[in-house]
Amino acid sequence: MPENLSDLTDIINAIAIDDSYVAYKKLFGLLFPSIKRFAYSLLKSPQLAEEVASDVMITLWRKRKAIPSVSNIKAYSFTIAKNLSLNILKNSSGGKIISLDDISINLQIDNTTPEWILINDELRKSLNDAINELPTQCKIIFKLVKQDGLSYKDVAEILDVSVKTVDAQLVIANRRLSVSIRKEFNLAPIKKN
Amino acid sequence: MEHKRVIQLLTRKLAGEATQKEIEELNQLMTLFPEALYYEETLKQIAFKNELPEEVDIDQAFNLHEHRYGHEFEDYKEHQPGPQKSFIKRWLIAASFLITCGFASYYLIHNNLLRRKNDVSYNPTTEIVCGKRMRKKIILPDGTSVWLNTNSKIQYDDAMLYQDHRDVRLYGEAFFDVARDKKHPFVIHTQKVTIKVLGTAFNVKAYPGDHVTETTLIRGLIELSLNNDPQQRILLRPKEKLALREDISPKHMDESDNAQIHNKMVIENIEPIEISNKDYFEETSWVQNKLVFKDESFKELAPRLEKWYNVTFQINNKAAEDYRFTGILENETVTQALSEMQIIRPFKFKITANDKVIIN
Repeated sequence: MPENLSDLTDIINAIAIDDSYVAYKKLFGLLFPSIKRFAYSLLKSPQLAEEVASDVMITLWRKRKAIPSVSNIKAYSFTIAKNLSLNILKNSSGGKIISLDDISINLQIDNTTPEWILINDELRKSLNDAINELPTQCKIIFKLVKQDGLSYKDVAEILDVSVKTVDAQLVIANRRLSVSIRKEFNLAPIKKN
Repeated sequence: MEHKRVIQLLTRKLAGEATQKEIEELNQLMTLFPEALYYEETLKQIAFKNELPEEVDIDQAFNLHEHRYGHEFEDYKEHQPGPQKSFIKRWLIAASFLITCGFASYYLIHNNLLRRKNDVSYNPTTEIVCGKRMRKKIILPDGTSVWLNTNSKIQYDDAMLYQDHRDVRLYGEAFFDVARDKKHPFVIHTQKVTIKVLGTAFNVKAYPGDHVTETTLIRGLIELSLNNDPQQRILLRPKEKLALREDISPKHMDESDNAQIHNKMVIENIEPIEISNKDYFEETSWVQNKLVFKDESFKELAPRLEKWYNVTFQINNKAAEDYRFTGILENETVTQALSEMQIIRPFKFKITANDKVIIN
């Protein structure tokens, strides 16, 4: 292997140009867990999520000659995962589920981080409640940005919405959370006098 | 208005999407409203729980992926000049080798009977566990190939070659292609039966908890003894399957306090299943990653699909229970398999959380 496979672009080129099995395996390691997690959040079945993530990976392999022209491989994979998951949901629900808005998304704050141990139960509960009440699309955007570190542009591409929508939805989410925070710390409203 | 703006700018900053100008504006607002720091600190700490019940094991996931789609990319494995031999080809080479070495077994088995007495306990040093929905091939230190089926484990001693017997202990199902070694008989211990071999290929199905222990011989000759009656020995010939069924008779039938377990042994010939002009043995087709069934009712098939896909079935549709299916499943996902079955017989299915398949 002449190429150095530390860089995602190198990995993709090695797959596209050399049909490299080693590079493909590496790409699998980089993408599979987050794709599976994303599919799971939509499907709520580890088995189906595994299948979807596996199908996404083989799609990348089958289309390997074309993937160097894809601007962001992660966003591209997530888009395929979203479509495959929606197809499964559409079929198993007898056509009742046709878009992401028809499904419910679980979003729970990870309270195992050291910082969270310092935050009291009441605020934790209040924030979790606020998150749970967010609309589906808002939750998905929140998750993709926070958990998967995706950019506004990537999220917009995956969900087929505008960058403006992504920004606006995230702001809505944080504004709702800020209500909980304000109550907890008894903060004065941010306003010019 | 300022509150909205602060949150908006904070949101962009935390997402890594704020411009330089926006950062400056935010800093300025923060000096005016120091309380905003509380928002920033708290929002920054929010991380979401990983919902997946278990962490993704990359190696295991890739193995599964190779099982499903390996035929599309394994020819490109590097450091191997030329395309790799296909699984079937390798299989045939192994088979032809085994046929030639099967002849001496009868004589050697007689030798074995004499040796039985010094059947000492052994200390396995290695345990290989095949998790749910995994099937894997392993090579033991003596060169024996073992295909371990889903949810099974095998234990052996790394130094097995230096002992009188090559002992392995099996929980579950495995197909053995035993490397020939006259001097060191290969002995498989399961919960109910012990099997001695010299060089042969066969399948053992002995899941703890199952009431049936099955041994199917493809080539060679093996000797089998029951663990609770070591005197009783059975010689198995090629294409014979021995099923050991446990019958628990009601208490009152016996004078003793314990319920008596009777072993019922059935020896039958296995018949190849012909599908699309090819012969398959139902008992061993899993080794080639195939699930083969012929004229089986949905009711009979469901437990096999459950094991194959690691899902649970709930058949609500009484008529569907009696539908009969013939087919081979290879790389299909559970959804694809059921969709194909839907073409043959009308039913509806739904896969819910916890991988429960509901048939309506």
